[in-house]
Amino acid sequence: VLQRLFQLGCLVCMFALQVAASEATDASSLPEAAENQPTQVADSKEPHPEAYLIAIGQALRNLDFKGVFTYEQAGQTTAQQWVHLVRDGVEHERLLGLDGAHREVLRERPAGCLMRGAQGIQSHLSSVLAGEGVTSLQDYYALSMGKQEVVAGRAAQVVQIMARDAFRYSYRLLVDRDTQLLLGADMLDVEGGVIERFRFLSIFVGPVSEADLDPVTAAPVKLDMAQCEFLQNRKSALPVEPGAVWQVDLPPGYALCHQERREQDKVREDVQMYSDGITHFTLFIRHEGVPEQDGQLQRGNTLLRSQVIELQGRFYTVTVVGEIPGALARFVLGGIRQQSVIERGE
Amino acid sequence: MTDDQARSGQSDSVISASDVTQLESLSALMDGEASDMEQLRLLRAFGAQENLRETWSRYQLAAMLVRREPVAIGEYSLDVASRVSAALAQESVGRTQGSWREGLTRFAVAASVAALVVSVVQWRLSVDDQQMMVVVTPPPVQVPAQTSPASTLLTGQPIGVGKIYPQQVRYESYLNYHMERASMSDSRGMVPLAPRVSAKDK
Repeated sequence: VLQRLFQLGCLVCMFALQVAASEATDASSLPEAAENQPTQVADSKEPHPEAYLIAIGQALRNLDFKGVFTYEQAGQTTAQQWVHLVRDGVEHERLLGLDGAHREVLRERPAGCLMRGAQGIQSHLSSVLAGEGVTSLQDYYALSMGKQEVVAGRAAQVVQIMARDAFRYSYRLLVDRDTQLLLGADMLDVEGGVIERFRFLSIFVGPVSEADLDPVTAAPVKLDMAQCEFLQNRKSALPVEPGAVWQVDLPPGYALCHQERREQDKVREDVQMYSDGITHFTLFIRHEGVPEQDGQLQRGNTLLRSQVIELQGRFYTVTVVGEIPGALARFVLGGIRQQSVIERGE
Repeated sequence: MTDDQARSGQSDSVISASDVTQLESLSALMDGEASDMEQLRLLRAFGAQENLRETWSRYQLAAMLVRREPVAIGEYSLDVASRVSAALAQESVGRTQGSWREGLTRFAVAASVAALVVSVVQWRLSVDDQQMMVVVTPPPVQVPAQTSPASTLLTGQPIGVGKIYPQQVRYESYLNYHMERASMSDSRGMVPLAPRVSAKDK
């Protein structure tokens, strides 16, 4: 049984890895299952949740589709249109609010376009797959197949990713059996309550016209290639210095995936990203000379919690951000210890 | 004056049967057992209902005393609460109720005396023009039961559009930093960005 659990854990790691792998410029060193090839899982006699998880990310990045979905969160339901098409290896996407504020977000993702934090997540999972890691996703999430449901008129398979503790959310995914596209998803809190629900009402999978990407609002938000390059520009960040990494006590499963030191408003900040493979969060440590008020902010289910700590006679403003439960935010903010000593040249 | 405020003004300190559940939730909130979504819901509810707000304040004060928090009690809790009460009472003498100028004055007095008492601030971000809930701690304390802009600020109703706090701008940049990276490793694709295009104006 333990061997089986370990195998399941590795397969789930591979799901998360393939998401990053599809963005990598060089995927040759990645395991076969993570390569960017369509995976047919519905025909398998014994489909496993891991296979669906792997296929979701691939379908999401390789298929053209256009559909309308509902997004329910904090008691409000809105309708949105999602257009996705791939041209010459570049993903073009548009998210359009059909009611409410009627805004839209455009995103272009060229092959190899990776932000540094995402690169770190990929590297972390690669090490886990190579046997260098000491943790398994299965230790923190229970994976299982659910019933079949009909979503947007299509047969969907339920895949459950249930957190084993209160330091991460659970997910219930509805995957199209024909294309492996994600047709719906519920985010669940520790008590199983739905805190976010997304469902396609209708979806067309097939050739999508580029005209469907034309903005329809006056001021669309563009998350495009230029921004991607800008965020990859290491000149905007200071080089990592000895002692720049902070020691943080974390719940099991989370590992440091990315670290950078930068200056914001002439104040030094250390940024550290962590991931357990499914859940990611970012920790900002601001070298403040003057203590300020604590704060909390929420956008959708992304939580931001900030407080001031004093270490060795200095004040720091520490902020944690992520689609994470408050319990994790409190744990992280209470677990910041000190900067470790890093040998020069690492 | 909103309908909720009018109703809460009539009910004063009476806790209705329908509030019992919220009081239980409030207890959980005090104990740190409420989920984040529950916390936000409760904080909004407290902003709209005077009796719950006052109960929350009493609970907070009691909790501070139990926890022996000298800074909280000495610097901004009991002391500032009483100073705010006194300041507002003084400001209200000889003035006509309902004047917007009076309201602004109260706002200014309360803000200057007790910036730290601000408990729940909800604003529209001018940067992205979307709604966020911001909770600035330390927690709320006993505030005067008046429906002036001062108490509006203190009880979590929307405040003036265009007011930008330094923290607010930085929080915005933190959120974008994280979401733009994490969404690249999320099997839900653009769905995590959905709140960005759907937030309704109020």
